[in-house]
Amino acid sequence: MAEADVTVVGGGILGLSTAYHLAKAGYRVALIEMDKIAACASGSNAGLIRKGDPVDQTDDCIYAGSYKMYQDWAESGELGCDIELHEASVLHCFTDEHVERMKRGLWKRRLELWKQSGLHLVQRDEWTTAEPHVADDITWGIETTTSMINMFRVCRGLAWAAEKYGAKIFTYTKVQDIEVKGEKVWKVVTDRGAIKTDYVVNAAGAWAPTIGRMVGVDLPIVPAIGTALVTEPTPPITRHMRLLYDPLWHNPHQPFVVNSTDPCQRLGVNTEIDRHTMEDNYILARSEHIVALPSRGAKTRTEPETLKCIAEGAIRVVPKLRNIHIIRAYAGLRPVCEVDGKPILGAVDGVAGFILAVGIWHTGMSYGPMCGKLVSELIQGKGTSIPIDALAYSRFVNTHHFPYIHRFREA
Amino acid sequence: MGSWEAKVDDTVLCRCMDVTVGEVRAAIRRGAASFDAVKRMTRAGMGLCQGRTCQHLIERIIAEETGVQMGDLPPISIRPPLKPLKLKDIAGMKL
Repeated sequence: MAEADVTVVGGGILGLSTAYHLAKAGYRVALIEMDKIAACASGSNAGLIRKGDPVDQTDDCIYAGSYKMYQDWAESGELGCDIELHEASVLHCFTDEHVERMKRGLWKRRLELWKQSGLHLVQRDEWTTAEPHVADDITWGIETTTSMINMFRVCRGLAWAAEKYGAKIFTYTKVQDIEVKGEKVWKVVTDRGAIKTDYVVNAAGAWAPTIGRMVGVDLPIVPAIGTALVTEPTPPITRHMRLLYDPLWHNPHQPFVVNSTDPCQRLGVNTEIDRHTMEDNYILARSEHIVALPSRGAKTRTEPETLKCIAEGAIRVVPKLRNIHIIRAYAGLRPVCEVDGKPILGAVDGVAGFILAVGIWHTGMSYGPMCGKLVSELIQGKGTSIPIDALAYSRFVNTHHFPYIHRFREA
Repeated sequence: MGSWEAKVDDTVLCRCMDVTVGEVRAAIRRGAASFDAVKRMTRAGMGLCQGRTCQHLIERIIAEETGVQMGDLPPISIRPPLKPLKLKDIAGMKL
């Protein structure tokens, strides 16, 4: 039987970062992935990363830590490829009506936070970069910047780097069971043989509950589908690398409403028009609502109704896109914690050696690198460089008092 | 007409994205063992035709380089739309 100090389940950004950091620290690591590297959420996003968060301090430290890692990897070439880290200009688009409504409710608070970080609502004729093809009734905007990476290269590069430090990566390999002896994990059984192991890291994304059940741990993780359309290469129609338009005034903590008669609201569609500096395609997004896991494999089907809503939204914001061809649509399952939308990191009482690294939802590329490092620090028995007690599994005692997704359902 | 093996590294294999045989071989030698893996590393197959032209050519090189039979390679991800559609036609779909 093969042996490893740590067996990581899941070949997305979080599992790869964990494997990379542990292998680099000298641990014998095996990573098991049922499909290919970055098959689901880590391979079907826009590659957007956040540098910080003005509201939540833990998030802020994690985002900043990941961003620093991306910068280091881009400079050092540690991942063996160009991860295409670059700055991108962003325009949040608003109509007159939106600006009126902004004076109250949740958006008032958001506007204040933006102001504090130096971002202001500006009338269209004063935008630093003119957007002649944005719909006429979009009269206001907030201009800012963000960072982007190529998520395929980051994930592939982390796999290479982990292997360079001795990790063994098994793709197209399925975990069938995790055996526990004396309240401690000791063996991972896969369809290609068993691995004797001291630690199991559950980084299986949307499939994390399936892995959890193998050792009797219930996880409040549900799959939220995110969908995007890819256009043919085209000369620029917009000047900002990312245009955002949110007609529904989404509460970021309540991205969709299950029983709504409005399909956009039910499917959690709002408009993102992304253009990377590296290629000439547009990526049109986004949607977010809870679906069932695919019956087998990691392949997530796109839903025609969602594609239609995203297409309508993009044309609403930039009418000139209407005649551009779509060459591909993709979808991925973002693992969301239905209690509070936060990741779950760390050990579980009663199953020694079983470590959770799950629930990084739609900010996976921002959470992933740093969360992997934190999990590796836990396993190494070091203190974590950011306190993560608030993200421990133990926070779910009495969660039935404030179920998160249930709030979506009742809205 | 030459044999396949005689194809030189600078032959363009994916015309949509302008990727050569040499770039594909380099990706395979770095561990890309399937069409999807080559695609993600080189962008071959990400263009207008979505791999219709280059998929089998790339799989053939993978088979040569790795010794795996073409029929045993992992299946590729096929995604809608199966041919390019205008955005307005997707927006106007009757569901």
